[in-house]
Amino acid sequence: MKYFDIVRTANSNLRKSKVRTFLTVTAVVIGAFTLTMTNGLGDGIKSYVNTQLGNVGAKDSLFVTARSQDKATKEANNGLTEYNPERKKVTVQVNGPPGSLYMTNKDVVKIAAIPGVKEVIKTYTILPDYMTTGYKKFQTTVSQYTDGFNIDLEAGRLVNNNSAEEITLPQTYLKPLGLGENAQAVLGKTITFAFTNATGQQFTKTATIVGVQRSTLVGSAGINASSTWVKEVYDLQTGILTANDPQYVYLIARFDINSTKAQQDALKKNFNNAGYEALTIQDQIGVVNKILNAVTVALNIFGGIALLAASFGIINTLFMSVQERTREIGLMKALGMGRGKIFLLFSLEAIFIGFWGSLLGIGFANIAGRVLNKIAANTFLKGFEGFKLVAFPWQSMLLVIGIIVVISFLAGSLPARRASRKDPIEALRYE
Amino acid sequence: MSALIQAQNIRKTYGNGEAAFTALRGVDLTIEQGEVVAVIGKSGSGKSTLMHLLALLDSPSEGSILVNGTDASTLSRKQVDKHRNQDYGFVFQQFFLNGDETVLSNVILPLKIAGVGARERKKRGLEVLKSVELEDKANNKAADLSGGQKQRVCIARALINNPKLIFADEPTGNLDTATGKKIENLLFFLNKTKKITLIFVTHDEDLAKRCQRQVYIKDGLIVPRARNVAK
Repeated sequence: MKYFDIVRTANSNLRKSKVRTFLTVTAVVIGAFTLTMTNGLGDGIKSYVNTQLGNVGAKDSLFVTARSQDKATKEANNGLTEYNPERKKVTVQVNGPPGSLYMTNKDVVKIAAIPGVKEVIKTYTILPDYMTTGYKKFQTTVSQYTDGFNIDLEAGRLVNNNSAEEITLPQTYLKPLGLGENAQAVLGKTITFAFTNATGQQFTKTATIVGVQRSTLVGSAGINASSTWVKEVYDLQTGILTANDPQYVYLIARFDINSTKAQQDALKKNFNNAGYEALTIQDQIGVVNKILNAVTVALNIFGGIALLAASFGIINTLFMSVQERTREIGLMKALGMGRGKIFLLFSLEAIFIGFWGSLLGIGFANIAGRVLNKIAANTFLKGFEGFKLVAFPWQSMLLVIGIIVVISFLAGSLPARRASRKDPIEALRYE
Repeated sequence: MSALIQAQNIRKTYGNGEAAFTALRGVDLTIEQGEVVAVIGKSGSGKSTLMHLLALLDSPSEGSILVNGTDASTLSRKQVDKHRNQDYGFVFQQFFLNGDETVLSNVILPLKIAGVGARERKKRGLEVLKSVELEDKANNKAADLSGGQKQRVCIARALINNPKLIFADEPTGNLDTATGKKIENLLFFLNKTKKITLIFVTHDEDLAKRCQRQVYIKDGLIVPRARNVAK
């Protein structure tokens, strides 16, 4: 028998007992639906987390802060910290939150010398008094943008660090600032920031909006300004006090983006030994991903159980089919059909059940996912543009189809084997 | 020229030990091309077993079956399947038609198994239905036919591969006398016109009488013609 004819025969055999086929396919649909939905939830949340990573930091960056003392020394001193002239706390308020440790250009040189560090980026802390568009004044913070941070934008672009006055700001700021709600329309508009310098005099500085950041659940949303602008403000703000010896609350150290996990761990150890805390972007969001993976696996187990039940349905359906068609099988064998082709014929029926079931299940899951996303976007995820609660990348869907087809084939192989081994004489004996 | 089928001292035992049952106890039989042979015996005599062995649906416990001079036990399963598909036709008492499907698709089953293309299948299917005078029923469901028509469909199915030999297992057993006669006539006509060898397995003495040669089976052995043997 030609393979094409086997496929057609298998298909038409399924259509002969419509109700039974329908019920078996339904069981597979439920399994496929569950698996697709659980996977979709995992994929949706993970892809959101990944697009939002830029709000936390660049992939090749370490977030470096000064460490006062290692744990062992501190414990040896009953919790008291030894004085270290190199590790002073911020005293001038304009340099950062009072009480936090700061680093100096000495540290920059020291960090740059750590093996594996490609570049150290000086980050200045500036403390605006308020921001305004001439309407209302608001308190705010401004961060220095570092190249490589991939901020999730609703409109516009990231700031150019060489440019003197560029910022991105969160979408949620638009309305209070009197800028309307259209993110596209605010691009190019300016915001005025006021600062107080070390001598107590207030001064203002304007910046142009080049991008609007989406609301996020990962990392934080805030104003990011070009480093050139931030440095200018910093110099004006601190003036003669620290302009020649800036105080850095944190520094960004770049490493080779192609380095392995082990290399990164070694690098972090080097920082630790040198008296710094260094965190990669993965350290900062790694926990979230771990939890997500665990939840996805747990949910997938439910899908798996549904599929297991469905596969017993397939076995049962095919055994019934083999039983009913005993004579037909006997006749086909008597007329010269080989064992392999008979096996294939019945296996294909199982595979078709799996294939159609998974296709329908995925289809329903897509519809349900769309509805769910819409509901979520209007309720508990309101304001988090770009967050699709359930996502269906085609790779995942192909994987689900593949898995179900394989499971169906395995389930069908037992009845198919029985069919292929039927003795034509027994099968044709008249009862 | 070697015989179409030659059975050499074949024995067939089912089961083993205490429960062993010997259905055939040393049978020799030669069937030549173009012959019409009736195998006659009571139920349980071993006549069906003999037919199954000759049709290569089963293999003998001892002895050998030569097909065109070749020992069937030396052939691969694939070769045996192919041989049954191309050279043999089967007509059964219970028809074994697929009632849900059309007459045409029932008839072309052997061609489908042989891997013949759809267009060729249809053409040959209609031809062979014409030869059994059922071409107008080609698209009817097989279940809707009368007994005689069903058996004609079976014959058409057996004929479609242009076989050398047709095994007819009680072909008239489920038909009334008049219809049965018609079916017999059709088969004898095919023997005359197409030189197709016929092997009837039957307990019908009247049908046996019409055949060239009668082989009586009793308790697994071929016996000389005896009165009332089949009654």
